Amino acid sequence: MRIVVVTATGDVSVPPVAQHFTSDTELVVVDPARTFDGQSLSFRLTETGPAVVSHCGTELADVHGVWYRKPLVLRAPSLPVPADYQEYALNGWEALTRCLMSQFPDAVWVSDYFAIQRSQCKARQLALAKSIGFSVPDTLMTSDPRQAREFVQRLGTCVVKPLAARSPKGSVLYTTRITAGRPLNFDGLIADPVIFQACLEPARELRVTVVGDEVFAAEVGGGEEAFPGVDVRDWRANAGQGTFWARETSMPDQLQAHCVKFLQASGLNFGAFDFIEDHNGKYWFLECNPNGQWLFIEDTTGMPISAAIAGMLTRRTLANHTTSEQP
Amino acid sequence: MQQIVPFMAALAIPADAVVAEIASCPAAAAFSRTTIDVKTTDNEGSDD
Repeated sequence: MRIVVVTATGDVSVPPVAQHFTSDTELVVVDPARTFDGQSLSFRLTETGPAVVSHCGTELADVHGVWYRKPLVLRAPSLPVPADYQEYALNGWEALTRCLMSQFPDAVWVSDYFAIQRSQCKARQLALAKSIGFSVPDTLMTSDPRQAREFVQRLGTCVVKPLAARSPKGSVLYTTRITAGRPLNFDGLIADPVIFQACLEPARELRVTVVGDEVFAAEVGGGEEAFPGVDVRDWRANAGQGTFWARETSMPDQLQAHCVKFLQASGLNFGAFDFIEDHNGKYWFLECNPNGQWLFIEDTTGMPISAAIAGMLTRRTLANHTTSEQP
Repeated sequence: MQQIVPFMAALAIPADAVVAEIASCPAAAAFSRTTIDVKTTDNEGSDD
């Protein structure tokens, strides 16, 4: 059998999963950006036969599992074509790459590409989480300075985090606590819509990785982040400060069941959830990263997440690729 | 058109301020090794 992984060359998350494959399993890493190095990608249809996908001239048959990981997102200026053709070439490359995402309908996808795209919408996530029974903090996503001012004024203290997945050049943005008394550039929201959310005081912060119906719960944390003038409330900052820690933990059965239900309702086979447990023992849903990072949790806690992903990719019986086509 | 200063600009942290010495912290090293560095690469998604 074949397992196809769509990702950037050198992705360190691939070998830990591949080591669990049996000797009759062929791993094929498709790095769409390498088409510019001549690693070709083709789709062929005939009047009578099934669709055929080939990579570097080899037909990809007997594909049991497809893992959509973290391929490079190319930008037009980086393409090795004349400047007048860069946007054109990028558009063609994107169209070809997108074709890959609707192939292999009988394979297990971790996860369906289009389900990942849909699930990255925070508004959709929070509404779904609430409907399933998770507790969700008061949240405002907006480009409206007036609504933002009112939200912050009403709560007194809240956290703010960017909607953009990419950071500005030369700097990073974390979830940050703000107070109503602090002068802030609310007019800047028209060019920078963000998420405002009630500030929770955590007794524990949880990173919960779910693969199918297997739940791997970790408590995460670190020391106080020290950034002058910026009250960071984000455990990712602890990694850069060298104080990050993670350890295996337990969580209520009902919360685990809700996580699995959330994935099923989203058409996902994988999710990396972030929760806060407050000092009253109440668990708050913050977000689900539909294609989130997990290897650092396995490396730190020893929980067998890579084995679970490998197991899912090689079990055809779990096939549920929806090919739903559009985010 | 007049340039707009983004809301989050006042809350941005210089990238070099968050890259401290992490060799003595195995969990932090694991995080840095296994997640996508959003400051230097352009992979799908982020370090979430």
